[in-house]
Amino acid sequence: MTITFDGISIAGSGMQAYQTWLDAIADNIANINTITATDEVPFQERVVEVQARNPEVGVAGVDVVDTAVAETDGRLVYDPSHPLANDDGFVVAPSMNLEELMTDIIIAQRSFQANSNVLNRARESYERALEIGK
Amino acid sequence: MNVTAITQSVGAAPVTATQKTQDDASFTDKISNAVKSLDESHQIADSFAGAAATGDLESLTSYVVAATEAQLATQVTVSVRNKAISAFNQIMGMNI
Repeated sequence: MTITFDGISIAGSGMQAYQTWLDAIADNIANINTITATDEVPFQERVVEVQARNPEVGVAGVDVVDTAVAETDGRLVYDPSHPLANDDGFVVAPSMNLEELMTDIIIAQRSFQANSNVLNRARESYERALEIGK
Repeated sequence: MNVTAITQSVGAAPVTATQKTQDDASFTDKISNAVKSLDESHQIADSFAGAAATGDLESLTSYVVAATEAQLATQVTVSVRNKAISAFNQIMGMNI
């Protein structure tokens, strides 16, 4: 006999996934001003790949499959005074934009909070079930 | 509007006195298995707590989930045990 609390572990898997996404966004924001020379590989945006678990096989939920990098060419910026600038005066900035990252971080934060709420509600429900007949 | 009659009773089938549990394990076995699985869940939670103390914890979420599951499993086991004891006491207090 194994006592399982699926609601809690499902919500936990969601929290784990959004935590990973928050980490990835944090890395992207930290590197938003990372300038590279035109002959180098520009900073690659971190993206998180997730996949829904199959509830027919085990407990449902979500799994982080991979934290990959989005292969981008970057954005050419004209800055002749930059030490990394090429002969034409260009450097490469990451092709991410801060507005998108900030909305993403709000989505990730709210989703994390939603999953955390689900975990608490599930725990309260299980505890309430134990009150039956007391 | 055509409302079809409800032919099947809603909810779980009523438990009859002759109905047996699927396995024939005794109550003692069941309790000891439950305590074993409870112990396992506590060991998992404890290993996460140790990892948190030493700074080796990789995922805070898995610690919270394991700790919550261990807490709930304890509550379930304790209330089953309390119910069993109170049933026993009721039988003991029966007038013959």
